[in-house]
Amino acid sequence: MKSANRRRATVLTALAAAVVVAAVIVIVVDVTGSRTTPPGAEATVAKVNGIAIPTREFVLFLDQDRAGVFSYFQQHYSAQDSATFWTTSFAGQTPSERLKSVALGDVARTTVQLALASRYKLIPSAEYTVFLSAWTAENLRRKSAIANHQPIYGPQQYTEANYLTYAVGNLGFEVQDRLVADGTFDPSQANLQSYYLTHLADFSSGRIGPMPADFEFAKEQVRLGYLDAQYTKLIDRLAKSAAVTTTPNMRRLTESDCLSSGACFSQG
Amino acid sequence: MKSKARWLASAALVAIAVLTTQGLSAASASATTCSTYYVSSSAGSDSNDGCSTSTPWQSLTNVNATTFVAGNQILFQAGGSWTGELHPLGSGASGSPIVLSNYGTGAAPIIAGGGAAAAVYLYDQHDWTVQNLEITNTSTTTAQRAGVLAQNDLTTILHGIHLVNNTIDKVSGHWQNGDSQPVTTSAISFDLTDANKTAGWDDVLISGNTLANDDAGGIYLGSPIGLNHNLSSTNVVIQNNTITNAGGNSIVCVFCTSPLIQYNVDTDSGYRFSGAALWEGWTSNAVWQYNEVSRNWRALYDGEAFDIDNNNSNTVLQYNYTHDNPYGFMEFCCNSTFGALGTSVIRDNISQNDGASNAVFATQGGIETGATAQFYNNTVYMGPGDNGDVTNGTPPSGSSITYSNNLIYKLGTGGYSNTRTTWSHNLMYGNHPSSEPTDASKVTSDPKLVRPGGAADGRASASVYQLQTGSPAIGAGVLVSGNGGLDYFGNTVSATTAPNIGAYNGSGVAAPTATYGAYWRLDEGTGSAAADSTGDANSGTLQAGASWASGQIGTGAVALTGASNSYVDIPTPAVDTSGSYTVSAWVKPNTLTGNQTYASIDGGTISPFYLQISAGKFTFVTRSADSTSATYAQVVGSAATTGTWYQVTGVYDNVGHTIKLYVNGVLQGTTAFSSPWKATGHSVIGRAKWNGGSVDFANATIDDVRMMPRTVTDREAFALGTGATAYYALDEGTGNAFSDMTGNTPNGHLESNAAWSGSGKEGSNSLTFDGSTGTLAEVPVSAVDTSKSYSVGAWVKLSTVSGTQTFASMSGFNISPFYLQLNNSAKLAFTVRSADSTSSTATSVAASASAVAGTWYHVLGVYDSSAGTIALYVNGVSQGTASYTTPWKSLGATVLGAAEWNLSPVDMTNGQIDDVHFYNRVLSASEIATLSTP
Repeated sequence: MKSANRRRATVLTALAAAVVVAAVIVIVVDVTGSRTTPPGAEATVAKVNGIAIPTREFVLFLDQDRAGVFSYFQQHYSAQDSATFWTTSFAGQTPSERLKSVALGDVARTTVQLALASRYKLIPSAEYTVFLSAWTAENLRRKSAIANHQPIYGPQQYTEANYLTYAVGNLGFEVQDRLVADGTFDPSQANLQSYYLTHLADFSSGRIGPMPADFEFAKEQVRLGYLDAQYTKLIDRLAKSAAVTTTPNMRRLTESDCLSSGACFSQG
Repeated sequence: MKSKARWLASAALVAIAVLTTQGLSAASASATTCSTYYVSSSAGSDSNDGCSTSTPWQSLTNVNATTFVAGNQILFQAGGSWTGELHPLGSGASGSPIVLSNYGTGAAPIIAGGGAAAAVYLYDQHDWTVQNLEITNTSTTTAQRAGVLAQNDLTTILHGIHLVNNTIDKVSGHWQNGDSQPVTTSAISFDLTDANKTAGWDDVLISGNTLANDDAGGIYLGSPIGLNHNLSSTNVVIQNNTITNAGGNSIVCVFCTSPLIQYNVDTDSGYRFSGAALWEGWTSNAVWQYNEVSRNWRALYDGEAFDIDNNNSNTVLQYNYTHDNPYGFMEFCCNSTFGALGTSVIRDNISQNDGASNAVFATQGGIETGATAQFYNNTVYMGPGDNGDVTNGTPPSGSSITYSNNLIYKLGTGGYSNTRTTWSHNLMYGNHPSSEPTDASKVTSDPKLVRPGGAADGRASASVYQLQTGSPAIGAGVLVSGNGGLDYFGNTVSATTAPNIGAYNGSGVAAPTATYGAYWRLDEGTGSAAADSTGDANSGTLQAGASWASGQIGTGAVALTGASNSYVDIPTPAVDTSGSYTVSAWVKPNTLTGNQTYASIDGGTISPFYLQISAGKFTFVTRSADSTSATYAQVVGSAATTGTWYQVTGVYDNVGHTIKLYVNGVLQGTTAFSSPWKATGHSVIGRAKWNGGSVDFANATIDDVRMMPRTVTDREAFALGTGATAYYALDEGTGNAFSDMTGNTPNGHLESNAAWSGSGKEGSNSLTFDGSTGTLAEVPVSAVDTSKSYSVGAWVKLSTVSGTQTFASMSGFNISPFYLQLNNSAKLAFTVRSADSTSSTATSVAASASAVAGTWYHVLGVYDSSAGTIALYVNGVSQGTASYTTPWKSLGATVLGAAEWNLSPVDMTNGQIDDVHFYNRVLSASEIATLSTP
C-alpha cells in the first residue's frame, strides 16, 4: 500500500492539472511516516551462527533471488508484477516474505562455507568485513595494474556479487581437500565405487565415445565427483541447521522499498 | 489526523484513476511514436503512449508490436519483471543503435522468458544494444532455449549487436549427443543459417555480462552444423564477462575472423553438457588472452579449459591463467585431417593443477598434417596429487610441435608423449618420469618460484609464479622471434636477448616479507614447505634430512634425525628477541644425549635463546649477548623419556625481566634475565647456533611450533601445554568478539544481551548472560570432533538455578551432541545424545548435590571413546560416569550460554561463564585438578 501511494504520487506530480492534489498526497505520505528508510549498507540485518550479515551482503542475495521469486509466483499463481505484487498474500505468503526467506537461506549457505574455510585456516575468519577487504584490495590491484599497463586476468573490476561467488567457489574446492585430510570425507575405494555405480552417466570416456568409462580409467573424475557431492550435502545441512536471526534493521529493510524495487541503500 | 489523511489519500487516488483513464489517448502503441519508450511492469499501462516515465507501457505486448528505428531506446523500469519472449522489431543504423536498457533506481529489470525459445530474440536484425537487464528463461520441461538469441537467416552480414552489462542466468536450455551444435540453446546465442555460406556478423560486442547457471552453455557464435561456411564474422569482441556454472561450453566462436576473447573468467562449468570451456572452430587469427578458467568438467567430450578445434588457423593463446581443470589446460582437436591448421601459438600462460584426469597439453594429435604449434614461456605447476600427464597424443606425420622456455614444476607422476615434439630450453623440476623429453638445454634445478602451488587462494593473479632473485630460470631461455613482447606479468620480453624460462620475464622478486609471529603446524605431509599459518610469511623449508611423520596435533609433524642436514629452516627471525616473546613446541625425543635444540633463532655468533633438551632435561636458556662469552640464564625442567610427546614452552618477559619454562603446561621455574638482544638471522626448528656454526641437531619428532611476540599467561601456557583445541579466556572486556588463544578457531561473538561482566573467575573478565531467548555467545566453527574423545570445561556462576541452562554445547544439524549444563533438577550435569535427532536418547551424568546460585563452579564433561563412557567433574571431583557408545560428529557452531534443540536455541544460561576449554581427548586427573583450581 505504501509503495502504491508513492508511485501514484509520482504519476500525479508529472501531471500539471493535478499539482495541488499531488502536493497534498506527498505531504500526507511524509507526515504519516509510512515510508521507511532502509538501514545503511554496513548495518547488521541478520546473523548466521553469530557472524554478522550487513545490509550490503544481504542485498546481493536479494538481487540474486529476485527473478526466482517473481518466477515462483508467476508459475504457481499466475501473478505478474504490479503496484501491489510484493505485498499481496498468496496462500499466506507475500513475495516480499518469500524473497527475504530465500535470501536468508542463501546467505546462510555462503556464511557456513566461509566459516568452514576459516576453520581450516584458508581465510582469517568468516566475517564479511574480511571478504570486503579482500575484494576492495583485489579491485584496487586491478585498477593499478591497468593504470600501469600491467595485465589482469578476468574482469577489469569484480562486482561485489561476482567476487563473492568467485571466492566461495575457490574456497569450497580447497576445503574439500582439508575435509579429506581430517577424515570427515572418506574417498575410500568402496565409497568411490559405490558413487561411480550410482552416477555412471557422469563419467564418459571422452572422445573415445559416450559409453561410461571403466572405474579405473575414471577414478580421478569419480573422486572429484564424490567429494563435490559430499561437500554439497554437508553445506546443505550446515546451512539448514545454522542459527539464523534477524535484527531490527532487517525490519527497516523489509518495510522500505528495498524488496519491491531493489533500491536498498539509504541515500546520503 | 491519521484517518483524515487516509481519506484524503484515497480520494486523490480516485481522482488519479479518473485522470489516467480519461486524460490520455488510447491509440495503438505504434501509432504514437516516441524517441524513448518506457515500460513499467508495476505502474504502467499498455494503453499509455509509453513516451515518458509517467506514461509507461506495462507489458511486452506493445514492445513486440512496434517496429523501432535507429536511435530509439526502450527502457524497462528498475525493479520490474516481464514474462515471455521480448522480440522488438526493426533495426538501428551504424553508430545509432536501438537500445534496450533500464531506467529508474533499483534492481535490474528482469526479462523472464518463462520457457520460450528465447527471452530476448532478434531475427535478421542489426544495430541493437541490449544492456543493464537481467535475462532468465526457466522452465521445468526440457527444450532448446536461449537467453539472448540473435538469428541470421540472410545471405548477408548483420552489424552491431552489442550485449553489455547484463545478467543472464537460469536459462533452461538442453543438448544431448546427436543434437546439432548448441547455437540456439546457450545463454547468448548467435545463430547463422546453414542454408548458405555467407551469413555472418560484424561488430559483435559481448562485454561485462554475468552468466550464471545457464544450460546448455554460455556464449556460442556459430551455426547448427558448424562446418563449411565462410569465415564471415568479423570484429567479434568477447570480454570482461563472468561465467559460472555454464552447463556445457562457456565461450565458443565458429566462423570468426580475428576475434578477440579476453578478460573473461569462467568457473565451475561443463558439468552437464559436452564441450571444452573456451574454444573455436573454423576461425582464423583468434586471440584468446587474459582469461581465467577453473574447475571445468568433461560431461561427454573434451572438458579442457581451451580447445583449438578443427579448421582454426593461426590461433594465439596467451596470458591466460587456468587452475584445477582436471581435463587439462588445452587440447587440439581432432586429428590429421580434421584439426588445427597453420601455426598455433600458446605462450605466457600459467596453469596450476590442471590435467589430473588427462594431460595439461592434451591431444597433440589434433593438429592437421602440415600444421605446427609452438608452446613457449608457459609455467605449469602440477601438485603432489596431480598425476595427470604433461602432454598426450601424437602430432601426425608431417607436422610437429615445439616446446621452448616452458617451466614445468611437476610433483605428480604423469608423463609426456614425445613423438614429433621438440623440446629446447625448458625447465623441468620435481618428478622426472622416464618419458621426460630430451632437451639439450634442459634445466632441472629448483626454479625458486615465489610460492609454487600457492595461487587460487582468493587472489586472481598467480603472482606466486614470479621467480625469486637468483632463480636458475632467469635468462636461461632461448630467444623466440615474434614473441609478443610481453610476459604474463606485463614485463617486456626482448626481441634480442635470451628470455627467462617460464611465464615471468622480470629480473626476479624478493620473497614475501615476513612479520613477527609464526605458527608452523607442520601438517603438510609432503613436499618441503612448512607454512606459517599466521599468514606472516615466515615460510619454512624442510632440509634434506628432515621428513614427514604423523603428528601430535593435526595430521603431520616433522621427523628429525640429529644429522646436520635434518632441521627446518625459516629465513626470517619470527620474533624480536629484544622484547617479550614466547616459543613453544610439541616434541617427541628419540634420544636424550647431548644438547638438542628444538627451536631457536640465529644471531651472528650464537642464538639468543635455546628451547632444548640438555642432560636429558627440558631446558630454556637465554644468553646475554651475541657471543660465546655471554652469560646465560636458564630454567631446567623435568627429565624426558624417549618416545613420549611433550609440550615445551619458553617465555621471556621484558617487563618483569624473567624467563619461564613450562613442560606440558606446568611451570618448571622462573629465572631472572634482563639482557635480551635482537637476533636477526634465520628461525630454526631442530638446531641452534654456537660460535658461528650450527649445533644441537635434534633427534626427535617435532610438531606445532609457535613463536609469539608477547608473553603468555600461566593459563595460556597450560592450554598450549595440554594441547587444548580451543581456549576462550573471555578477558577481552569490550566489543562483541572474543578470541581463542590457541588460534585453532576464529573469534566468537556475543549475541543479544550477552555482555562482559567486568570481572571473572580467572583473569580480568567473563561473559554474563541474562537467560533471555537468543542470548548466547557463538563461535562459527566446531571446537572439537565429537566423534572422538573430548573434554569440555567452564567456570560458571549462576544467577538462578531454576530451569535447564547449558553453558557449552555445539550445533549439530538438528540438536547439540553434548550439553554441559544445569539440568532441570538444579544439578550440574553433562548430557550427550545418541544421534543428531530429537528422537535420540539422552545419556547424562548429574552432580550429586544441587547447585547454588551465586557460587562459582568448575564444570567439566568428558567423553572417553575407548572406555565408552562419559564423566562429569564439578570442582575437580568426579560425579560419576555413564555408558555412552553412540557418539556422532557435529560440524556446526560452538555455543556458550545455550544449546540447540530442533534447530532452535534453548537452555539459555542466566549467569556468568568464564575460561572455557575444549580438548579432543580425555584429561588426566592432574589436568582436571589444574583447570578446576582457581
